Amino acid sequence: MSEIPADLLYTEEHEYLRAAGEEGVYFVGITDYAQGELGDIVFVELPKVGEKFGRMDTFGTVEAVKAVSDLYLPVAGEIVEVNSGLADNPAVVNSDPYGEGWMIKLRVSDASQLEQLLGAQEYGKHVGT
Amino acid sequence: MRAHWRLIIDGPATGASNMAVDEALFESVQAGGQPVLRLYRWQPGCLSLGRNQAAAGFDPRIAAARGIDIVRRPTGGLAVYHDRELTYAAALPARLLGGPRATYIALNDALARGLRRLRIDADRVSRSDPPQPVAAPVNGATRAGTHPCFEKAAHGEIGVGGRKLVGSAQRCVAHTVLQHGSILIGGDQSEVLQLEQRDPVDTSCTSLEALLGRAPAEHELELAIRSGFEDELQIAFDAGTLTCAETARARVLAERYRSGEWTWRH
Repeated sequence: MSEIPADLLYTEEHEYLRAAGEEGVYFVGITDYAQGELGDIVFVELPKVGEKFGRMDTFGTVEAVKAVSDLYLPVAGEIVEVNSGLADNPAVVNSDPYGEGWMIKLRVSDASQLEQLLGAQEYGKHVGT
Repeated sequence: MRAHWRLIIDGPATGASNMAVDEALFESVQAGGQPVLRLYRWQPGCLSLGRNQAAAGFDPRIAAARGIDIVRRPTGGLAVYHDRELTYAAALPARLLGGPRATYIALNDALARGLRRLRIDADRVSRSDPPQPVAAPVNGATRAGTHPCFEKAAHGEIGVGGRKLVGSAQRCVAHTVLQHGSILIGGDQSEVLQLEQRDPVDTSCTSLEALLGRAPAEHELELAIRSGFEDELQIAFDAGTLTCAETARARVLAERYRSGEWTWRH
């Protein structure tokens, strides 16, 4: 069964937000359900620090043994950090999606968009657990 | 009642044109269009790179001297040499066959079923080896991962006796899947290694010519693949061509696939 931590926010596209300890800044990655569905991840294409995106814009792609899928930004914001460790070790997205497998750190530009995200229970219903 | 897919059978075209048409059809399905299967070929021979594959190991001058194109696919995976093959491309809603991974398996099963009509004992290859990364780290930096697609079979791909016969790659956007792949009619993909200036190795692939002792006729192979899809997926095909809008869109997309900025992006 997929892990769905209670303290995170989620999207129907299987991304999560985790508070990064600074107001308005969140780690973004894909959920345990998503990494299980994708299979072994071999490459993660990430944006550059400083780039800005709107809600549900594609901010990167994740490749899992020849299948490339888009990554959608849950809320509008600016990229303040990317996880450069994924270049050498993309498989950590599979093994630790909510920890070392984070993909970007985002400074949210419109906090009201957070209200449109799913809580753990809603996301659990969405993926059928 | 069977669901209807479009069927488009195209003649040979350049790598850039072929990728552009695949993407134009992909966009049509993203916009709500019918699922589509396209069968096509390549002229001239063309090396295609995976979307995220590092290209540094391939010398375009060597390719040009041999009259070989180089194109970067929109889908993942590694380098493939396209010449003596039938290429398939399928675009469909991701949920139609149960999600991207289930789609990969289902389409491969449809291909295997079609190939069995030619008395090829095709089946899914199972592997327990870890997948090779697209980019291999060296001394802390990222270096080119330039291995051929057909050097190793990924789990679920179609082979005969453990040797890969069909190599496929996928892209998923807006809940829509594009999957395309090469059904090898002849050759052994050694061109990929030659273009990379690597020593020859057993590429672990096979071909219809090697298995049958002959290359099947174009129509024979197309009919077998079509029947495989119809029987395995329980669908019916409406044969046709690109719409005017798709043709125009493909012309625009082909510019990107010809551009150095896209081809040499990694």
